[in-house]
Amino acid sequence: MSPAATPALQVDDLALSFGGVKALDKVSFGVAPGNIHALIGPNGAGKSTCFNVICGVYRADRGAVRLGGNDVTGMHPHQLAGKGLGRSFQNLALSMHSTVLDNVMLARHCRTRGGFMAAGARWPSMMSEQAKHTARAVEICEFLGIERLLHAPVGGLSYGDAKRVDIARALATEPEVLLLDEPAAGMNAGETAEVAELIKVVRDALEISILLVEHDMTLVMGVADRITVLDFGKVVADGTPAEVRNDPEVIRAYLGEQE
Amino acid sequence: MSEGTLTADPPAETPSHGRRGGLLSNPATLFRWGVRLVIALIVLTPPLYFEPSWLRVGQYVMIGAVAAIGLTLLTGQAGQLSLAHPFFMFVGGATYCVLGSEDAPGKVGFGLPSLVALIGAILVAAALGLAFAPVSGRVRGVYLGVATLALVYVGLYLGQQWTSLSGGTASGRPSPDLNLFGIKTLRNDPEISFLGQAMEREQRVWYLFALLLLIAALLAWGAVRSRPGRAWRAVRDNESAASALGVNVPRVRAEVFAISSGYAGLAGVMTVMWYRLLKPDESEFAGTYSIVVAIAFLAMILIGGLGSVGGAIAGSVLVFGLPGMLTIMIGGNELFGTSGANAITPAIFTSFVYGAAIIIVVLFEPGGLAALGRRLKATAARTQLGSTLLSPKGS
Amino acid sequence: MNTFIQVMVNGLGKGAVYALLALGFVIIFKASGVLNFAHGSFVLLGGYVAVRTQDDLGFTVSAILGVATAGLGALFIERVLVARRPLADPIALALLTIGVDVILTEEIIRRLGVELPFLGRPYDGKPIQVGDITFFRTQLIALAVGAVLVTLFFLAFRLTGWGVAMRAQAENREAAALMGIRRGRVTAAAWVIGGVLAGVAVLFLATQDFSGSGLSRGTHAIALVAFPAAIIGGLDSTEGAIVGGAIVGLTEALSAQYISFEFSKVAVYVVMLTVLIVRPSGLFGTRERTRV
Repeated sequence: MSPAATPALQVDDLALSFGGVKALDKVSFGVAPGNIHALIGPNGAGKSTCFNVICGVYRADRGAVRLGGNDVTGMHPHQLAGKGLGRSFQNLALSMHSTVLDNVMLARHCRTRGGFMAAGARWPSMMSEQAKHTARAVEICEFLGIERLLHAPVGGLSYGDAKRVDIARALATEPEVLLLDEPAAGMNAGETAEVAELIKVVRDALEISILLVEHDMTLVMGVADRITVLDFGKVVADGTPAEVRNDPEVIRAYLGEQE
Repeated sequence: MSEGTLTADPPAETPSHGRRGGLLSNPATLFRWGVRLVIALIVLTPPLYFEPSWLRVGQYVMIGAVAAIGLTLLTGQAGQLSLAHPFFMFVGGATYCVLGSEDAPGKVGFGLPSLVALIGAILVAAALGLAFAPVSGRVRGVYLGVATLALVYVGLYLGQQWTSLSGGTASGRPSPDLNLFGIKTLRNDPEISFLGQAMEREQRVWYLFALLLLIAALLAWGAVRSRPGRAWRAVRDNESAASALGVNVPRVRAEVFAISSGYAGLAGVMTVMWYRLLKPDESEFAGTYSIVVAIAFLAMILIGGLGSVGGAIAGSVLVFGLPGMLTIMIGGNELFGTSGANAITPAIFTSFVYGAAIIIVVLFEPGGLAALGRRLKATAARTQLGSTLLSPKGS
Repeated sequence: MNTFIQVMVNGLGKGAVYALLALGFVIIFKASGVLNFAHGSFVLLGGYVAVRTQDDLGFTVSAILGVATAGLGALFIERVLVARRPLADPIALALLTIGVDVILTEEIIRRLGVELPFLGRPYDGKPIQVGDITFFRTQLIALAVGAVLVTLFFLAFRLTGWGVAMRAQAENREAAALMGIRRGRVTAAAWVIGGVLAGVAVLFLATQDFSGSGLSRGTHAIALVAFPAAIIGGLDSTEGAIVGGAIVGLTEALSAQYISFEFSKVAVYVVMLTVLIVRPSGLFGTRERTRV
């Protein structure tokens, strides 16, 4: 990583309080292009808050979020999707009655056009655009190994497959930066290892940057190139897994939680 | 998603991989063409053989079907409960009369061509639906259901007060005839006959309504199966996920409300043509644009299967069709030996039937008729008889 | 000024009845998450039993019988239908109650036929003249009964085990179940209370003083104002139901007096829409938290 390269994602001096409680306080870090970056911390450290600020769900009181050099502070989530920010969901948040393909195709919404009349009248330009995007969605599903499930309703899938659909959907927005919200939540060791492998494959094949918010230490230590540790809304450490592992602040933050 | 979510989402967009073996060797394709043929027969032949009274029942069903398709997009696909459909029907009907009639004493009329008035009515209803966006975009779920109830009262009040537009509750105002490229609908002008059957008013209205319903259904099917439909379902299932994937949620919510209102507006024009009269209601609980009708539409889409376009049509056959059919068949207005003021009329009997159907659907078959139909189709395809019927080359 | 006082008293009297309806409605919603479209038919059910028995049993006994029937009817609906789908989504359950409402209402209206029987013999149509102000007994009694019932309810809600369980369940249904609160019993009790309050309300609704019309489809329609009243206050707020009922009663009375009678029904909904635009969950309702 050359120090001159613009970070794929940069947060600067974020601050956000909820009724006097500082959920985020002067949080800054950057995700280098092509890196897998993890954001960790004990419960209530502000990981999710930070994640939600980046996604546009919360608005920070102060500070900035930059995506590949563009200032995206305060943008709505749906605008960010078009700016190259994709995200997965901890609770999957899929449409259970819809098919896998339908779920993945939703992510092409901001890349396609056409409203009710065009769609209703099956306007040729819209149909051909749709066919093109369907092909891409199928390709992404093949990449994630769920192509045999394209027409199955998501409601009937195993958790692992549903997680893949969730990631496929995030990738179908063609992100520069992929945010993963606790991808290993609710998984056993075997499944977690699979997810770790998947994250690496995604990064290597698509050459995108990944920001991971995660609880599971084995996953984080195994895949992350760089780790930012939050505690009480502040960055307490930022470095490689090896550096972070031995950082006294981090150890204190985690041991403190166990008391 | 909770276990009880009601939906009849079609397995959206089954791509046509299945063309490989030609038209007839694919059971699904053959089935689809079979269904189309049956529908074409149901739509095209009745005016040739049925009495006008039966045709009027069918016309009425088609009005309900258009309205119910609009509502199933809103409630079934996009998850927004609405009781305002009768209001937008009234708006559509009134706009059609105002735009399409000549100016008369005490009644405003623009004297525009009737086709322009028809399209204008749909657009005005849709625009008013869009104007409701501050509410429909912000208020959610059951709150929205009650909020929309307000519009029924607003429509009732305006209809009674604004007599220069509505004609007033006493006499109403006559419906403009629809002149479709030189062919009038409500008058035999010019006289036409089709396969030896003179095309008079009820035949003409039947075919006109069938055409409108066809357009309404095709547009809805197309939209449900592509980009707008995906956005609707995403908004229904999880707003934050929809938003993260690039869907502008408030905008989609407002749009689908407007689209649904446009459908109601068209149904309103059809209603006015059916009665040949626009007549505002005298009360909010009985009448053409009342709460009872709002509930009847909800019953249609629920019985048909929420979100299913075909189901909405089937629902209308039951809810809007049954009273008329029963009246004709029993040749009167009293069922089960009852009589007088306490008689069980076909209308009351129908209410019992659809009330019970609603309960049964919610408790036992959340997908409604649409899910039943799909299961039937799947079973037919699996059984020996089905595969023989559906793939003539055998397996 | 005298007109104003009279309008205010009438408005509050109406508001008390609306508050009873709205409170029942809110209790049912809080306990079971059901937007009860069948509330109007509970009103009709109680009223129907009362009018059919009042000639033989006298007003008081028939009124008690009507109220009890409405309560039991509500209980029956909850046990037999709603309880089968405790986790169904709110729109499905709302539609379920629409089905119940359609059947029950149509049958009662059919049985009534052309009759429009009045209730409230002891107090209806006997206005009291104080100077040049006319007070309607129905309104005054409704106000008193409403005040007593609401007070009783809030005492029960604060002090009894049922009240505590109910509040816990409204906070979080799964957690309450884990803590050993018997969901079935709490919910059933809520429906009974909702039905009873509807049964009491009809004793004032189907009167000369209140609506000028006997028991009819119109009574069912009036009962629908429980919706705007509950929504204005906030669907999950019992206090809000009382405030909402009062707001609706006053809005109706004031707009009927100072604008026009026809406008008074719309005025209620205009107020409701205004509240919803400013506060999408009503004045006292809990804001929906968006889960991410």
